[in-house]
Amino acid sequence: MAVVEYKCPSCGAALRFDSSRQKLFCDSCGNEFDVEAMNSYMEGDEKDSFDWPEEDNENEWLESELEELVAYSCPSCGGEIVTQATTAASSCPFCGNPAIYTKNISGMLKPDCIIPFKLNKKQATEAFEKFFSNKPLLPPMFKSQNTISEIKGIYVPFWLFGCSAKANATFRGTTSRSWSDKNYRYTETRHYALKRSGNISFEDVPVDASKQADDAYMQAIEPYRYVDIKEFKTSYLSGYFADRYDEDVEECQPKANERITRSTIQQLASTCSGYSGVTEESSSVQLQQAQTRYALLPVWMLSVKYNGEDFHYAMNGQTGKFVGKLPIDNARYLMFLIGLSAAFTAIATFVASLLI
Amino acid sequence: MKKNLAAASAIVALVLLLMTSVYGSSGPNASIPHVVDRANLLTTSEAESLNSLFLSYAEETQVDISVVTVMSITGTVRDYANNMYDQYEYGISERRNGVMLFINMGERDWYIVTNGTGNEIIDDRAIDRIWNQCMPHLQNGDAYSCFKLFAELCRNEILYPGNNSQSNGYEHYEAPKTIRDYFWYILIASVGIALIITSVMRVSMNTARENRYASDYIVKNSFKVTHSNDIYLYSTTSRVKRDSDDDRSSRSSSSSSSSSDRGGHGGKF
Repeated sequence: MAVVEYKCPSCGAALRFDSSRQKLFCDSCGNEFDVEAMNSYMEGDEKDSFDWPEEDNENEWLESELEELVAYSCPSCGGEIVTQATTAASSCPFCGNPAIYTKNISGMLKPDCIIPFKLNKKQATEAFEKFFSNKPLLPPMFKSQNTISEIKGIYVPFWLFGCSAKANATFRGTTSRSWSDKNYRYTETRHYALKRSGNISFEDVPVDASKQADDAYMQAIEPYRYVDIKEFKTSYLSGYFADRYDEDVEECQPKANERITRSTIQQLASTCSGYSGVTEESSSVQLQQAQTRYALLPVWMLSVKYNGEDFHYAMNGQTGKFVGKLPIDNARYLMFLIGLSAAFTAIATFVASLLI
Repeated sequence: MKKNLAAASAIVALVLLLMTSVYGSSGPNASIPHVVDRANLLTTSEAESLNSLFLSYAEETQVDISVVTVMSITGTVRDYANNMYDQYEYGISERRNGVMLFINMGERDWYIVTNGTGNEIIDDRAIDRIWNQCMPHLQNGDAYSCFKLFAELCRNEILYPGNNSQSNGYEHYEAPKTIRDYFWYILIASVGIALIITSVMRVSMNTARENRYASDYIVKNSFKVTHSNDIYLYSTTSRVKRDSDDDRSSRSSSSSSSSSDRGGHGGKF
């Protein structure tokens, strides 16, 4: 029979069974533990498993659909876009390079679904201007001197992951109480192992399938409302560009796994009420009934040149959520810092002079 | 931009001016002479030297120290001395803390005026104790030594009142805190708050953030807990000694229980 070694949950030293106490005892920190409680605590969790189906895209292009489309490639940034043949592409939507060339469209995966653009170019421009307002650290020259490349409406390729997840997790939590006597204030802290198991389902967790599209930007403009999702038709591409995917589903699975695992554990942790300082000790997640689909989701993209540097912005083409990084004018930042410091010093001086 | 910069500079300059007046206002008023020698007991250089000494002691103790000598008076020496104190506007801070030695050479009168904390610490017994040590120098014609000793004894009495057998029971004197004592704390706290605010403004300039969770994609009502077990492991107890109450008879910072802030007495020498 294999001998099980018990480790002290407080200090990690080996425990021994103390026959006088009839409990497991730690010689290092002096704590004692009930045998049954330790057995429950040490029950192992299953390993993580993420069984995504193999890519099996049965969605085949019709010959007529392929004839409607044209693909472009940019030699400068490597971006590849697809659009309707009637929509001419004069420059790369990612880097602005005008020297793009057409290329063979074959081999491109046909999307399963698409969320059409809900917000037009004018609305995108207004959102951009609104983003600029109330930003006191923004260089004033930025608004007047910037060079706005053409705002581009781009369908960004995404893999959408759905699954059921079964998870087990062990957390540590504490409760405490205080009391005092004439000489001392006492605090007793009780440590608990909180074991939780549960099931949860996810649908259409998006992971962008394009190296061109910045992951942080694409995640920041989430969420999309899938109630508007439609079966893909080439006509939706009219007037817009679709980015070709260059990260296949296996490359995107780890990102989906990470987000799903984090949310699952977060949900289990939220059930540990009544304890403070809840921290995760161990966990395992198994995904089942997994499905994936390839979708095109709408994004308005802008790039602005300022002082020779490119600043990129993205707007959710369905909800209008706008994200981006604005340059900071250091001189204005210092002015604000000094001004605020002077103002607070004056206020604090006034208040102190009344009190002292 | 230039307009904003000019406005901001004007505001900062105004604030600095205001703070200078506040922070510069505590301490003795160096523009008032603290040695007024109408009886010509001192040379000019002696008077200047004593003036500087009185100002430095006043800065240290936050109690104004001064000497006024005259050849003749009208009315009582008490009233005349008190009027001199008020006329020269001696005294530090709103309570006009101070102690003044008044000498009328014509009638050989002396009077020590005390006000505010000067009055609280230097009571009649302390006045007698001080004058008894100073008087011999004046009687010997050495006014400089008399006044210098007067200032030193007042300073010692204020800083270390417990050193005498006839002490009035106060512990080590702490000069009342003025706003100048808090200047660095106020400045550091203000810069800290300003840094926090401007850092938040900087962070708001970049809204592209990774989303590491999938909370928006959880199927509604799909989360179910299938097993829940809270296992008690162990407990730890710590203790902290409690502070005992301070029962020293330290001087209260509130105003004294005497009906008036003015005190003093004198006599003949």
